[in-house]
Amino acid sequence: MIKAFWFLLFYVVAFVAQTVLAPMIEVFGISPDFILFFIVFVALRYGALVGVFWGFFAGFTEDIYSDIHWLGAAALTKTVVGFIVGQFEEKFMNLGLVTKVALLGVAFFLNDAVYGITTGMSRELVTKIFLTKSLPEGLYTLVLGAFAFHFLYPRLPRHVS
Amino acid sequence: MGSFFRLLSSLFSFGRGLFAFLLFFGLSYGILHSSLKEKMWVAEVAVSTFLYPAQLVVNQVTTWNRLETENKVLKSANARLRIDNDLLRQQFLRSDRMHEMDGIGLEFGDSAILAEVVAKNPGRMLVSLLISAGESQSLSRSMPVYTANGLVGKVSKVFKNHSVVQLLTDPQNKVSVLENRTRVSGILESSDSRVLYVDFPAHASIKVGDTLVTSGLGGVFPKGMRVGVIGRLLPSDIDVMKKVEVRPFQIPSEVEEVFVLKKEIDSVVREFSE
Repeated sequence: MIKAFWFLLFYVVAFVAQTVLAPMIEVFGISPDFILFFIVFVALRYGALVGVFWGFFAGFTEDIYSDIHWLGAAALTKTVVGFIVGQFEEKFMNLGLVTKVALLGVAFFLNDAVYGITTGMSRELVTKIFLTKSLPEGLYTLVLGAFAFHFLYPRLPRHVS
Repeated sequence: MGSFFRLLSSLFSFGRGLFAFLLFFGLSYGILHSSLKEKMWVAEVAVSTFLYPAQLVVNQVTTWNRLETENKVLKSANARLRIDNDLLRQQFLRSDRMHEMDGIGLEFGDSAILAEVVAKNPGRMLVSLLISAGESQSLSRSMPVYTANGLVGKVSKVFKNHSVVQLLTDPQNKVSVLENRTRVSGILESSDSRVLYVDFPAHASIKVGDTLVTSGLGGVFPKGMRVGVIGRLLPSDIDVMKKVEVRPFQIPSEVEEVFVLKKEIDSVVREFSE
């Protein structure tokens, strides 16, 4: 129960950061994705099970505020991201800072690609979104992610209980 | 009880989260392929139950954040408004005549209600807002949403006390607009949820700084609602069209309160779409 509370608190922080902080630090309309950040964080630190659950929860929350026809698309996308990133859980392998940041980048593009496929976007639109949004926002997130992985990540408890 | 939870835990942890993945993947897939009515039900239950506390927290943080700025702005606005008030008394008497002369006078026979923005979609694409008015305030789908600055979007989902507003920047949202000077119409849309574009016929003498209003052709928005100003002329993908970038009068990310115009879709358009 306490474990769930901690994750919920992490998630609320990410949610507030995404809705309040992200618009403030926007550069030329480009802002980082704190929620994806949160999923990658918990999946790497606590494993695929946690990554899958919070990926689904965060994606579903995103779905609620989006077009009703695609309800479930972001939930499905972030569930996939949480599961795949969770396979690299640090309990099973030792990851350096560069690998963690690279995994964040992979998760970012995987997220956009799976979402594009799920919602049946045309190839032209996916390419356009990739160039104008995914790429710059992915790089922005990676820069912030590198700092967070270096300073914040080691301070998180290895096992929340 | 303890052994039940241990069994559940080991089941979910099976195959490094494989069971949990298949379960949640299936659940998402099920929701995605359910009927529109079922999706509405799922969304309504989620908004009115577990998402409500999260909205309260976000609102509180946003409120604290903007109170100080608002206070300063309001003080200076108050002083300016006292002067404006006297001037407006005189202009008010002329406004009816001005609307008639304008030729695109707004025909807002219906009433408008004020609603507060309580949440913005947490994704990277700002395409929708959640407002504090719903079925209880007689709102229904496709009602126009606007501010004193200009058009914001339309109501896309209605819950009991909340509604989702689909913004102009949503790539799924297309609005028929009219250029105020040349009277040429085009379709306003966005492909990346940031920049708004309109394609006009190539022969139209559109210039930077021209103003766009709603054309009323879609049946959703009444004719003459302020939309934005032409910011840039762009090369079009097709020779017969002229593409322009539009700067909206109301920046979507800065909306705090909105008006919802209690207007149904025009009956002719509704019959046609049915």
